[in-house]
Amino acid sequence: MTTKVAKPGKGLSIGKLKTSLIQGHSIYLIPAWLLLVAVALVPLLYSLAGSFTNASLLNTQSAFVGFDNYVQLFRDSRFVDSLLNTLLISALSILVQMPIGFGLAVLLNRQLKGTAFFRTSLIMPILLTPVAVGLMWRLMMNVDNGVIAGTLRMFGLAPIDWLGDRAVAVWSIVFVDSWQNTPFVMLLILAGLQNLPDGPIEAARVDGAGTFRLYRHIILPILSPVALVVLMIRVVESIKLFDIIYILTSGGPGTATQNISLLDFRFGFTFMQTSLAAALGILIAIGMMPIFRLWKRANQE
Amino acid sequence: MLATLGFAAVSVLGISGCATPSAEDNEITVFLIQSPTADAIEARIPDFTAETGIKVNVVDAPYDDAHQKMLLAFNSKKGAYDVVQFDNPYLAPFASQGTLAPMDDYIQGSADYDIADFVPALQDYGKYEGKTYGLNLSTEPFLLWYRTDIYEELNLEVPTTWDEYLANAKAIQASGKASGQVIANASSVNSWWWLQLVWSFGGDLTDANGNPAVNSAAAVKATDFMKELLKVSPKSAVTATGDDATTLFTTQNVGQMINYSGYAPVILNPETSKYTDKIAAATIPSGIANITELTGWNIGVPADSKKQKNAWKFLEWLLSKNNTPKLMDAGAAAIGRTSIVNNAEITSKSPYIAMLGPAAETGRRLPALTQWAEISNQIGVAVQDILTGKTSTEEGLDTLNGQLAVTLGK
Repeated sequence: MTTKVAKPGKGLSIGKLKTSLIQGHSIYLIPAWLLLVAVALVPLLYSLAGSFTNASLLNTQSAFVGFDNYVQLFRDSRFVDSLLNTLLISALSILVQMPIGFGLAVLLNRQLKGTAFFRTSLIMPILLTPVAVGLMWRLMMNVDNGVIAGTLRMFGLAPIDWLGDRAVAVWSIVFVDSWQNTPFVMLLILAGLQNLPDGPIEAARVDGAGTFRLYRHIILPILSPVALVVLMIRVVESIKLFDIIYILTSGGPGTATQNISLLDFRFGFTFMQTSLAAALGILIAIGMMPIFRLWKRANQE
Repeated sequence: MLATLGFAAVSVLGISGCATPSAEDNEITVFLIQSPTADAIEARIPDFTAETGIKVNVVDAPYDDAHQKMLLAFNSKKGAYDVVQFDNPYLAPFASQGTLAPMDDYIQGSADYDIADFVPALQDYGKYEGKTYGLNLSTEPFLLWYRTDIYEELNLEVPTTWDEYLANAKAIQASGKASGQVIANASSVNSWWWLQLVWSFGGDLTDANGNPAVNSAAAVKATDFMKELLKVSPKSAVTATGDDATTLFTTQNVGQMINYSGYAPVILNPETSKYTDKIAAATIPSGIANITELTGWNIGVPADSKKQKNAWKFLEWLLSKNNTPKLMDAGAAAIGRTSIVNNAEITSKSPYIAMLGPAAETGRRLPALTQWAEISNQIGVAVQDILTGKTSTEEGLDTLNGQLAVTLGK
């Protein structure tokens, strides 16, 4: 069903608005709009208002402080550090997940023997909650008694401190996040591959295109809207990654893996500075906006 | 006429309301933090209700969000809870906002509670700016936990100084029989262990004027000592929390551990510890200053509670001198009453409890600062940066000192 939203003209009366709402079926969207306003817009506006106050769980009387919280954030080295960590973890995650997810999708699309088994097995990590995934890998990555360290010792290799070595900890986060989320990329790309139109592919084959040229000039361009949507989702998800980091390293060693979401949690729930947490939340939302614009453009295309 | 009848009706209802307390007046709501102590309190509640007729409703929450829930309830001022369990570092943030009711009048007038049964450090444990806002629900000082079999095999003595502790750790590590020792180094909690060492080495968080003093010579020595300890620890100790350190000590071969007495139920339980019969406890070594960090639960009455008398009745009953052993029997963490730590029957069953007496006598709780949560995090990150070699001790502590000055508003 297509929904037309009437554009209000200069001289639009209430009666006309009513008619256009009903005729354009927009009226049926009102319950959804109301729900959206209640669960998204109101909390967002509440946070926005709170970010201009000195409200705190320890301060029952709050006052307007203008942009003080935002200024404080930009002066705080923890904000800059966590922003850099967020960008690093997000970039590495995307660089790992997109190509591997695409490769797996291509393999599974070939309908080789055992495809159904592999597809089911690969999807399993998505079904687990991030907290369970974090706990599981935390145990396995323990340098003293984890199964990975034990296996390395069995082969005479020195165990690696996956979570305690600051040079390795970021990679461990990226690995665990990728272990859980690469199948998501795979699944969506696979769906895209399975819905490719046969015509252009057949035509290219008849014209003598090899596999590489087929992917380069036919399949990838047709798949690009799907790939862009997957990319956008993964970028957003990796920026707001919280559970896995909280469980695996709690942001450590030091602040080596503390990302912006974890810092926001700390401001709000550990330090109880709710207004500072609100300001950081607003900054995160603003930072996400260009990504949503790209997403919107991809959908339109 | 109608007005007269109405007035009469209201009068009758009003009088009858005063004469017989409603069922609600005989109910209190207790907010507990999920823990063995909370379970023990719940187990004791039926006896209290049978004795007093007061019904007790329990609301509980996990530690991670319990204090935030309490603050939200306090801020609404609706009297949601009549009794609240909280961790001692939250005493200052809670009391400074006037969210807890002072309990000194109740305490002083209670022979059953008998405040004189606590050593001075424990009498002050629930105080903020001279007034008592929390009773001692548990007494959990740092203790030295050690493996008797390893000590015997290597002819080691129980250390009385930190140098001896480190020497023992090095000897154990060098023997190849076990890791030398373990403490918690994770950035989320290491401030508690670090502060113990700073105190022992003669330093403090702040100077006499309240300015941060974490880059003092004593703090540098204490931090370098922590680095030395890390060298004779299991590899994962660098990210170990208190729970992780306990797990390492009870399941891996580790010779000694500095950890809170509150871990005793895990350390001495055969289901969670492989070495139950080979573990003993002692007071921690002393340094320039003989100080033992004191932690443990508090329990108090919110200022917005409408049933403070019944709340006190419950607390007085639960934590009275006579009922404290019953609470401990039900599984609660030990409470360091003098009558408990000197009770031969109790200490013969759990010898570590005898250590709580001398530990409490030199006891010092964590700083009663409203910003402690943020300060603890800042210390944790700085110390772990030093331990993992990101920065030198001097540089790291100088930076930390600057950060704390901002947090403390100095």
